Amino acid sequence: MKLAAILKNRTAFAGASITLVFLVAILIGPVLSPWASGGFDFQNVLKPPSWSHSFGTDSLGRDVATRVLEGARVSLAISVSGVSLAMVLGITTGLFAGYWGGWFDLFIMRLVDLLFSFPAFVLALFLMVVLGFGVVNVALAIMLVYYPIFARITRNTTEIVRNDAYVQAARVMGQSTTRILFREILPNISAPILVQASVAVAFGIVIESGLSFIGLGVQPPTPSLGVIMADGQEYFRRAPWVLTLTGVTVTVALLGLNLLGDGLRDLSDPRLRERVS
Amino acid sequence: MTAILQFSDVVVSFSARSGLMARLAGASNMFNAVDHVDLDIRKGEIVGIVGESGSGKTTICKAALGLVDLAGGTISVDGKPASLAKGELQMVFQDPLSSLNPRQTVNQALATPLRLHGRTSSGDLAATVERLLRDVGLGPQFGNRYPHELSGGQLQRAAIARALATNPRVLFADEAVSKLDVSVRAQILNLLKRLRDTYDLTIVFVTHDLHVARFLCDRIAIMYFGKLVELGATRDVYSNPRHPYSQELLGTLKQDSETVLSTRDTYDPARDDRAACRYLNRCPHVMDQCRQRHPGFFQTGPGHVTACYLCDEQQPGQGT
Amino acid sequence: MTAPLLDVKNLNVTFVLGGQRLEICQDISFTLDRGQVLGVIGESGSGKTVATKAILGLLPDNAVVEADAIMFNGRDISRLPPDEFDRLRGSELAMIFQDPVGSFNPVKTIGWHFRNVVSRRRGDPLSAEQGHVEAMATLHQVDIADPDAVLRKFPHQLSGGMLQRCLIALVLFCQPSLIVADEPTTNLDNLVERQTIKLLERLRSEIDASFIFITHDMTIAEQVSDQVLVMYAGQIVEYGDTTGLMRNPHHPYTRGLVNTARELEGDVTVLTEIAGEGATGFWPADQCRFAPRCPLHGSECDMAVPLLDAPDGSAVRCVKAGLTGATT
Repeated sequence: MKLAAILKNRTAFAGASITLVFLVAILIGPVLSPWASGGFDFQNVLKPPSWSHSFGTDSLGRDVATRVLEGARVSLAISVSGVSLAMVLGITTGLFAGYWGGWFDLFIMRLVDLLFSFPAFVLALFLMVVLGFGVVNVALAIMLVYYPIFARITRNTTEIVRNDAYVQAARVMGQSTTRILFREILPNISAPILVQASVAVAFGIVIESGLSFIGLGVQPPTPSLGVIMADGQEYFRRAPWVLTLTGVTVTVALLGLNLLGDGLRDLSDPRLRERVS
Repeated sequence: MTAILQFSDVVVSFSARSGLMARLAGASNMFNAVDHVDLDIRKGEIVGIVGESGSGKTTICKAALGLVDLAGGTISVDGKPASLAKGELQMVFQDPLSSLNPRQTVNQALATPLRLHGRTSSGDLAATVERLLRDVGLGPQFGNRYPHELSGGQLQRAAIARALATNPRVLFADEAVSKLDVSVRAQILNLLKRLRDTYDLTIVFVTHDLHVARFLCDRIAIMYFGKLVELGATRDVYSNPRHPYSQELLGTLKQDSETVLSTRDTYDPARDDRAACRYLNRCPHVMDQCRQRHPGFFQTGPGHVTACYLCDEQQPGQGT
Repeated sequence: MTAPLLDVKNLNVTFVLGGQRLEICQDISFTLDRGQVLGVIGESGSGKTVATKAILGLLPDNAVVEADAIMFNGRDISRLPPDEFDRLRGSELAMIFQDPVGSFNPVKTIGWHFRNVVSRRRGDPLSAEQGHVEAMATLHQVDIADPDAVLRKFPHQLSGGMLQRCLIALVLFCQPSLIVADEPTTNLDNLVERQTIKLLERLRSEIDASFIFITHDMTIAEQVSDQVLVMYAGQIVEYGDTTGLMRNPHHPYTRGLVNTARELEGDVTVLTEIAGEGATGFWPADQCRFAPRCPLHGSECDMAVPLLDAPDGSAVRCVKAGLTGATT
């Protein structure tokens, strides 16, 4: 999928723009912010949004906007780590399962079925209970939730592509299985995987926020979108802006990533493009 | 005469159904796509393996190249078991577009086998790729192109170049011109003949197109549902086919309206007797022994053998 | 002289892809009399399939079909509204596709397909009983030995050759006046192909329909057609009586194809090649489209070559063709 194509497709372009703005904001926002990270200011507790505090302040007088951006960094980092781990494991096992078939394929697919049978959040919760709380464990939980989808997509597409002539030509040439899987097959099946990745990162943020919101994820004082929302929920009647604006931020992030994923999917599906019959 | 490639009693079997149930069903479920075939290929010749769908002609090539497993028999090159690591066997596929990796340029596709077989150091790589392209009639500008930017004929040339990169002893071509436009076929056929000489190749050409086989091949092997039924010099087999199936098949070349075509069934592995002659259902000359056992080879001329009891005048010969 | 069954005048087909116009067929004109077979020869990119699909109204929405007229049975069908065209297709116009498997609904029996098209038959409405008898008769007409059993089978239970014959039967069942067969034997084995061609030849004399037979195989075209239309790069390059054209092709492309076919039938050590390869593309207006591949190309050819009349009654799009009667 070339860059030019992404720019032409409206959905992908919108998604890419929003995501890009979001990324820039969370990277440089906290750096540029005049408010020190974690700086308490008990004179200015729970103040509504104003010129000096664009999102207002929270119960400890901290600038909510700065905290949201920092929290978004953490949430995104956790989600990306978890999804990356899921991709590495999922793609590797999926490639071998799709190519070899047989008992390995059977085993992996039953494992995938097992993981799929749990609702995502329940699975994540279960892991947190077993492993304990904290940033790293949330990432591992996200990895567990998303491993099956990457494994399945990879395995299914590999199974189709493995009978293509160029793969057979690679075998005849004497290429090793690993080389064939990663050099010949993977580049040709990467499109649906990448689409899935953008969606996974989006919902990874949701999982993290959810876990942290109920106190089983990231632990304060480390900011994350879920932690901030938990805080905001406590003081909702006095200061609704904390929870609301944080929620809006999460929504924007999700929107951007989802649109990007939709757009990439449209671009990679040849049937959706106009064709000469 | 030196046999460069030998098929000895080769058997390849498939299951009629796939999946777990098939595995549990066991042997009764399997049938032989290639059924005890002996064939010697001589150095420097172009042999045509001719047949229709179900004949096993493609399967036997895949067996030689390790793409399907042998259920019996051996395939050897120069007396030793065939080995892919040496790059001595190569293949050109039917569909030129899918035989090249869509994400690689022609240069990359050619460089891979060269590097894999240690044929050149980094400096020579570009030069070797260019030479290979030139040998198949492609200018160096094609090197940077992706498969979807090439036409059918150009793709097939690139595929041939890639096959030649490992300096193979034997080149298999599976319906290599069937998917090409008619006006391009002549180019590729002429090219293959030229390359046989310049690269000292032996070519095994699998096809169902009898005209192409006659033009290109020195010898013809006719297969029918897994069995080799006739083998001989092209000229001999085409002018005097001895096996009733060969006669029927080659009869399609004549355009007269008198030849009556049988509408009887072809062989069906699920229903018919696997030990009997494969052509039993359609043959107009069935004898008792045909129902007992599939015939071995009988000599029907110098270098010409036929698997049919009708040809049993002297002693049974061997397939050479 | 009765009017031809089909008279195509100046058919042009363009596809609109993302704002760009891609011309697929240009200036296609031909006639087809009742009971005649027109062989259309062309390779990939020639536009042969698109042209015939355009006549049958089977092209997608992004295709722009323009013609002076497409007269079928005295009616101009190029301007027919879609619902009237629907009624025409299947009852008077029919098409046999290259891949028989894709033409059948895989989850329905062959019998279901016959029942489904009963309403398409012109005139007489048939009862279920009569329909069944007629279907059996049609299957028998295409040399199917056990029609009753076949009617109860599903497409995947039949071989490619059988399925193609069922498709032919289905088409015949509707008693069309014009049948377009698009490479109907290309995917079939040699023996089955031979059988199918013989069948089509026999049917030709038995039924009262005209055929347009699309193929890339010169030998088959020679066998089955009365007239031949050779297409290249979206244009007609030669059009004439089959026997004359095969014996004495005028256009260098036709000559190349005929030569290759003859050489493969004969005994040569090297085949005569047609250089280069055809391509779909944006053709420059003032040039012969075959020029890059033509052995006779000269500066006289750098113009928009029209279809010229040859003395033997055929038409050629070549300024250098042996129009004086001499073959170059």
